[in-house]
Amino acid sequence: MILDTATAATMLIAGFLVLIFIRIPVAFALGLATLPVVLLELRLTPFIVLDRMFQSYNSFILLAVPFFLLAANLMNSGKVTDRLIELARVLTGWMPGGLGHVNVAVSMLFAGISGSSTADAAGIGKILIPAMQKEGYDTRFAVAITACSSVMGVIIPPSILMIVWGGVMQVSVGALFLGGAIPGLMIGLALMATVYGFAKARNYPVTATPNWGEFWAAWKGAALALLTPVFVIGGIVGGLVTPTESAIIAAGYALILGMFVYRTVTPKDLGFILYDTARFAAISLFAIGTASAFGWLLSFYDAPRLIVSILTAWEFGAFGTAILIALLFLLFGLFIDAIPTIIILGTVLMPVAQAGGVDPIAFAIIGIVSLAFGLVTPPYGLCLLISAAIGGLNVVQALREVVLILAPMLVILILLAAFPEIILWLPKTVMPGAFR
Amino acid sequence: MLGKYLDKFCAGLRILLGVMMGALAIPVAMQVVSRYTGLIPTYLWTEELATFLFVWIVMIGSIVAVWDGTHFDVRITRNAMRPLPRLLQDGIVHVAIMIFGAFFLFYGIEYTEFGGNQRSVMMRANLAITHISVPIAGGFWLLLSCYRLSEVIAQYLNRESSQT
Repeated sequence: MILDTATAATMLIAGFLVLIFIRIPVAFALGLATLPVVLLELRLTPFIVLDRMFQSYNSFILLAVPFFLLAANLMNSGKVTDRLIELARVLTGWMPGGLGHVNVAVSMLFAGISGSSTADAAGIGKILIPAMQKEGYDTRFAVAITACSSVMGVIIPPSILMIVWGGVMQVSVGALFLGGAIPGLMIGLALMATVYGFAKARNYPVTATPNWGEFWAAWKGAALALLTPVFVIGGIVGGLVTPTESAIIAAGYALILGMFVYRTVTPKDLGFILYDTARFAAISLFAIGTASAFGWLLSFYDAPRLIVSILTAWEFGAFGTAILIALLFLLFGLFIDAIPTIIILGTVLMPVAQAGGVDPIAFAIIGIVSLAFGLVTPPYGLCLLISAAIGGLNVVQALREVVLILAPMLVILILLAAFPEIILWLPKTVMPGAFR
Repeated sequence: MLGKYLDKFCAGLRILLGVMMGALAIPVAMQVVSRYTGLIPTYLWTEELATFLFVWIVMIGSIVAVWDGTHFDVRITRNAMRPLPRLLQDGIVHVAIMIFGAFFLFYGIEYTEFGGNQRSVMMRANLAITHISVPIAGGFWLLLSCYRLSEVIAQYLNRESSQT
């Protein structure tokens, strides 16, 4: 039989939703949802699912993902994270709610090096959640602030999600990196203001007021790690290296720091780090394949055009379109991993953004910031799951604090939708060529 | 008994994943070194080799994750406590993976033949070397999920017999 757009789109989307409801892993649910369509449709062969999956892996830019994960894992194992925490402590620990600020500040530093939110939550959470519990912080707050601050990993450059976005949607990764910088800093400051509010309300302590000696020692200790964003972001923005090359340089640099400079990574550790990186990357990237097949089928049946015609008929304008985009990404991000969401929803909404007058870079950053919320919201909040596991809590127990911490971040998302120049100013200034 | 063998097999795959991840770094690093230092000549096959390794890492990683149960899922409903609902809740996941595995195995054979008729641009490698990862992955998802399903059924039968 020949399926029409509405029937095929309903079969795909309803099938997928039913499958994830009965707990089929997301990557398999995406693939399984395509089977009834390709088996029924006369114009298609089931072969197409395999081929679209394979085509999606045939992308050199995607190789950046395992290497950025490797860099982050090497940083965590090589005690580079400890040095960043020490630096964050002397910079922000003197404020009320000291360790909460340290948590946010170190996430910003880590985000500038790694590009992975989950590595951030795992690496920093392991050290700071027990330290916060020891200093009398409520565990729910410690878990919530660790999870919420870790989302900056995908917003502050370098970012794995931006690399995937750039690769899938043919947008300059350098411009995306620059576009994420100011929103990332705004979210960091908003999180610190929230920590201050909690500290005042709950009498959280000041960690320590550092003297000049400690201050200098902390800077010196973290200086080599802090060079990473200089050559990663600088290299990509300056057009010197591709994202994949910058990722391998970051991983190589982290390896040199861990094995030869700080001597905290042994060859045995390296074996486990390599396996753990490959395992996590494979799980995330496998979903890219099935998401690509799913997204391709939606395109085959012209579902994006149908969605565009419906949404553009409402004439939302640029702000309304940006808010709609944010809402859809927020909704999808609740249930699906960010990478498949970019492949399925990002490609569908790209023409909607264009029709609504939203710049592609602003569209990307609004999408990525919205998806970052999904990292800390159940049922699929990976960073919250990791942090809650470290704190020994059930995810639901930390939800109230998470909602309170996310509220100012939501305000920032609305600001980005209303004033996209916040996103665009830096890339337009540094990389005007990306806008021609 | 079979479970022990499968466990050992997956332990072997974990080692292979680590080795392949290390190997993946070599061609990409070679590209960087040749481009920026001129210490080694520019090899055109490095990108292709990296992509081949990448495909295998993804497929082998997916097999290990099926065995470990670490593919990401979404838990909207509560964990079933009674034996039969528990059997249905866990069993349906394994059955679904088995179906997808069977699909990959069946169509993957044809896909491998299709790859066998093509050669890569730079290395002139027969593309069956990567396409064959599809039926292999499908076959192992099927086998491993089948074993996990048998475990879930055995657990159900044990609980039932202990209750009666």
